[in-house]
Amino acid sequence: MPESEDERNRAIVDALRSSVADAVDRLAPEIEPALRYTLAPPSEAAPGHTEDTQ
Amino acid sequence: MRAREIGKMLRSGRASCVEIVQEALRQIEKRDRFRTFITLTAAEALEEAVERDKELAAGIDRGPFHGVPVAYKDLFYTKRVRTTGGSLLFKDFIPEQDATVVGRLRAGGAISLGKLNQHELAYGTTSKNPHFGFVLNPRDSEHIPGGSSGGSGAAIAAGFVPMALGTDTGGSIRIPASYCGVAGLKPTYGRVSRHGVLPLAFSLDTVGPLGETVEDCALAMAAIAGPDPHDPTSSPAPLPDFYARPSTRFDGLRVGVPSNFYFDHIGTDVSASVYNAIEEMRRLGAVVSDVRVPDVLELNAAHQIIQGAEASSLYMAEHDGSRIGLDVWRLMQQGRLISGPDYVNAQRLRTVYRRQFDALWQSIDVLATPTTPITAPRLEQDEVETNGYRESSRMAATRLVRAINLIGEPALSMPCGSSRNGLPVGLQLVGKPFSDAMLLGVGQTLERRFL
Repeated sequence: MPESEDERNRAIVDALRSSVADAVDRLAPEIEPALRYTLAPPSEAAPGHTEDTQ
Repeated sequence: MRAREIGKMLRSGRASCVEIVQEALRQIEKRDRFRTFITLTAAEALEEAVERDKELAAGIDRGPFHGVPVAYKDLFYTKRVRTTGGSLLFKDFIPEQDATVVGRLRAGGAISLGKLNQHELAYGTTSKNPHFGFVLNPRDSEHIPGGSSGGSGAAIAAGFVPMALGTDTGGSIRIPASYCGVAGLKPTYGRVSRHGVLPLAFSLDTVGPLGETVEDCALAMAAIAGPDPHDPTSSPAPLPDFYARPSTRFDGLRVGVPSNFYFDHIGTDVSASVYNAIEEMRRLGAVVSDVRVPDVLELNAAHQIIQGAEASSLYMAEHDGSRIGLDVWRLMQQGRLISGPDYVNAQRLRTVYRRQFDALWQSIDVLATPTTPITAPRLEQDEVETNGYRESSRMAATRLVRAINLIGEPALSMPCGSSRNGLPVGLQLVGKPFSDAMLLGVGQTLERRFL
């Protein structure tokens, strides 16, 4: 039986969610608890300072 | 004709602003079977041209764009000129003010010819707009121009304007630049104001130029970049000199060539042209080395989660999709299936990838890749096959570009050759945050070898 539009959409999103969930598991020790995201010019900050989390 | 060449004609008296604008309008009227424009503002453009001529006669010179015809993707607010976003949702929207970048170009003397066609709501890569017509690629009108800034790329490739503004949320400047054989810069996130630009995904959207040459993009960045009190995401970082004369060589420049992902499933003609450009950089003194890049498949997935959730959040009030094209409506439906935890986790991953790319920038200055794995697909092609690898045209177009929006880096696409069937190939040069001017300098040096 052909997939419905809704089933196709769910399959696409499930694949993306799965990829992100795997990355979160694998990178868990490095992940910060929150998601504030900013950039600063490299001249004003050492490498690694281009993001800020709290 | 490039902006600088137009400027020379105006200042030497070989042409007036009115004559330049009249000729551009004549060309559009005669040859725009590519459907590049949604709204042409001919009368307003001629009125402005008269004023710019008077100023030049009085010794008032506003800079490199004085009297130069430009155009805007139809996402940019233009005072008293309809701004549709390529969508029926905004078909009657007439802004009361200009977007910040439109105002800056206007102050710099640029003359707008009107509003450019695009993929509906900037949410797609074909520019097959169901409401305002499919944009065709001027290099071969049986092929798409790419998108979402397809009208911008096509208007430049057709020779109607030397520079047009576009937006890039997941490749929407670089893809049409690659497919149409023009230059396009996705600036560092925050480098250019987004005030007065219809959004798609607020944490990924960027505004930037497409140009006949990299130099046209550099001149545009000098006009539009910089902080904007109306855009809280715009950066206060000091502005570099976008006018700096590019070097003739690349001595000391460290160029990284990805050993993973970016050259997988790439068209033979594309990889040959890109490797040739990299070899040219080596001949001009660059130190070229292989580098491993962070897992781009993961970055692409995180990007799609964030873009999907943010874009769908803007259009929650649309319930039946009757006013939206099927492909865009499908993406909106997918975005609504993304959960809060999925979105938050994708955002949290960004900081990890950010650190990984910061580490990469310790060893190289520029990452060189193809912009797109293929040249422009044919209009009817929904799927493409590259050396046995099948994927949708949309996924192929975004495969090598969307991760850069996730981390915010600047990325330039410029022509570096053509395929056997004569379609352009794009080279993507990525740099660390706020290295936009350096990338434009490298691009200008390199384009002299290809023009």
